[in-house]
Amino acid sequence: MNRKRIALVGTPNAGKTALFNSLTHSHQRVANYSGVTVESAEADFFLPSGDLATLIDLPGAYSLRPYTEDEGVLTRALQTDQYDGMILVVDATQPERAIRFLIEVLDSTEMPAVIALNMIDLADERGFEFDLVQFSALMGVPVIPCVATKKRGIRELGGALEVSLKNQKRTKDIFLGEKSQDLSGREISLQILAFYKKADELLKHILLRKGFPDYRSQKIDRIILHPFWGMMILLTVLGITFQLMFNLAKYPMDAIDGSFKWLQGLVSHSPLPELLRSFLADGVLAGMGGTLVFLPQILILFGLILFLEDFGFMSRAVFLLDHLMGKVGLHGRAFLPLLSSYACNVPGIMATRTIESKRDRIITTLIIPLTTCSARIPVYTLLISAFVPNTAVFLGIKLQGLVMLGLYVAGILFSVLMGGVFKRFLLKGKRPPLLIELPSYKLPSVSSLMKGLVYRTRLFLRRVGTVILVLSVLIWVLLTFPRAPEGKIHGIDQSYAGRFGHFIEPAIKPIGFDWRIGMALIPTFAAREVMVSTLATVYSIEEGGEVSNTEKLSTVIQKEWGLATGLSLLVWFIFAPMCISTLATARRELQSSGYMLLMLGYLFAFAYVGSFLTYRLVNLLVR
Amino acid sequence: MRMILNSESSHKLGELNPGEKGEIIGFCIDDDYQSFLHRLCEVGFIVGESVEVLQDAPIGHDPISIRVKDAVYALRREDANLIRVVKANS
Repeated sequence: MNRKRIALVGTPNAGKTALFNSLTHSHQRVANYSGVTVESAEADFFLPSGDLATLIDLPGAYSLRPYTEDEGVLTRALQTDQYDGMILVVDATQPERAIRFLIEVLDSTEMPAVIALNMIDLADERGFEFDLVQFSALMGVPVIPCVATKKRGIRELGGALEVSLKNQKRTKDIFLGEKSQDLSGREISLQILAFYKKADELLKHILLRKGFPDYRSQKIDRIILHPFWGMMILLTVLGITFQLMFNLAKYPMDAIDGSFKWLQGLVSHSPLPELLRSFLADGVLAGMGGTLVFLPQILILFGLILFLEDFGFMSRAVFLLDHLMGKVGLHGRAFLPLLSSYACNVPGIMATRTIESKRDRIITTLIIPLTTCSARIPVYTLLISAFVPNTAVFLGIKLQGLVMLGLYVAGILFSVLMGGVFKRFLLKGKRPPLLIELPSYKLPSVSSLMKGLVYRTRLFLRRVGTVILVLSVLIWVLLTFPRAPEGKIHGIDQSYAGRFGHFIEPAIKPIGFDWRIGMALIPTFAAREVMVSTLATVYSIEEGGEVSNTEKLSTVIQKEWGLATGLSLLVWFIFAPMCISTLATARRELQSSGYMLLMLGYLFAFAYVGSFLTYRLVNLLVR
Repeated sequence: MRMILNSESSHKLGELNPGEKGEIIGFCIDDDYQSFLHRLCEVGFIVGESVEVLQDAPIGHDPISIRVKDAVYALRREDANLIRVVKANS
């Protein structure tokens, strides 16, 4: 049976995602549009008749004149006839904007459509009154009032949609005539004004009573945007976010780590052949477990980001920080991408799509790898516990924690520095304007948040089950083969990976790395965090024993390496230039290999020079 | 840069302080800002519309939050200066 494809189209902050979540029950998938993968989703849902249809969540837009890349996706999607129908989501508390958007979209396509007049409860509360019969008569499509977060009106919406879908084409009520291409700036202005006039005219028939302004949000803004309290709240929110990421995440992380250790133990003592045991324990389980432990941290960070975004706080953070960020060449909108980057640089780079100007997008993308993504945490943890004494500095603050904080600060300082450099030398010119809506505050719905987190989890698990799994197996193969001939034992340095390590040793010797570290750096190209499990494998195979837990590994490397090497590696990971996913995402998003190479080049140069200086300096001081 | 409309009592929107209201009377036409002006227009900044500066940001008093129609937007003062207003009395 042919499954209908329905596009979900709407203005920003109209509750499109909430509606998506209440309409669909099945799991979300990443959707693709004409060449670009947009961080957006599609999922199946049942029409009232029981037929299955697919809902595609298209990015929100104020109009069909795209201003950001995100908005361009919507315009292109409507031009190609790849959908059987659409649901138009608009905010009932913003009637002018709603009508303008509706007539523009309805003018542009003959696709069957229904209108979801969302947040009707808030509109009621504020005194808005609509003539729904007139509304749908004038638009030529059904108008269904609904409250997406409370699942009100959802069934009616499905019903109306199904009826509309019976006709393959909608009789297009042309509101403004066909749009001609290649208009001059002035003609576009006039066209917008014409839209405006037409919308206002229609609105007179639709809106019976105008509501009050949103006094509640204005009151909340008086606190959240307050010169002193606003900044305090922002700092507190960031502080809590990172506290939770480290302290609360610790428990589930220990549990995940523990269960993998238990499984590894089980496999190691099973009667399976030795090679298979090693494959399962050192290859599959070590690799997957090493990555899976980050899930709690990623979920905590994204959970908070989703919450703050739904609440309406994120655009306020942009408001508070724009001036400060402008000083280092960044756009206020870079705040959200940069914050996401602390979980993982890849979604961070994808989030730069909401930045209007190409110039600001490029600068932000280029410095994103300098933010401390969670994959670096286990490497930092291992190296700090091995090389930094945990003495109390003052008031019970320990040196180890301070060094960890210092590494984060170093990342921030370097991104500020590089932002300034890029702004100065690479992308000169006027700073592009800022225009960002401060939407009404809304209480986020728990089920919507949960769905968002489930989606994140599925994306992450898929990565662990595919990329990470394959790599872990590959690394195990490289470390294990060629096998020693019968009756002989030879060390890991005879393995393919070991030979490679020896091969690159001359290049990394000046920064204090030996062939084992060189070998362990190979898999970090795929995933930075694999460094730890590779080192564990290297030393456990070499020592012929179990070096599986971090504590033991840190004692081994403390013995084997020296302080200078340890700190040099720590500095290397501040820049960590070798994450392939990050580079590939940057290339795809900026559509430029040049900028990707620039990113790779400057990160490598910084990492190498930084490690070199650290190694030499520590050697000088310690001796 | 060219003014569509000028008037003795006109102000740049970016010069208004929090709490001040005005009515839009014109825009500065600047080729570098064409698509930005269109976007301003689309979100509700058109001639005849009344606007109110609600707040300014703590650092450098910039950007400012502006209410127009039923929505609130943040604009930097330099960008808001493209919009000309006459101050309203209240």
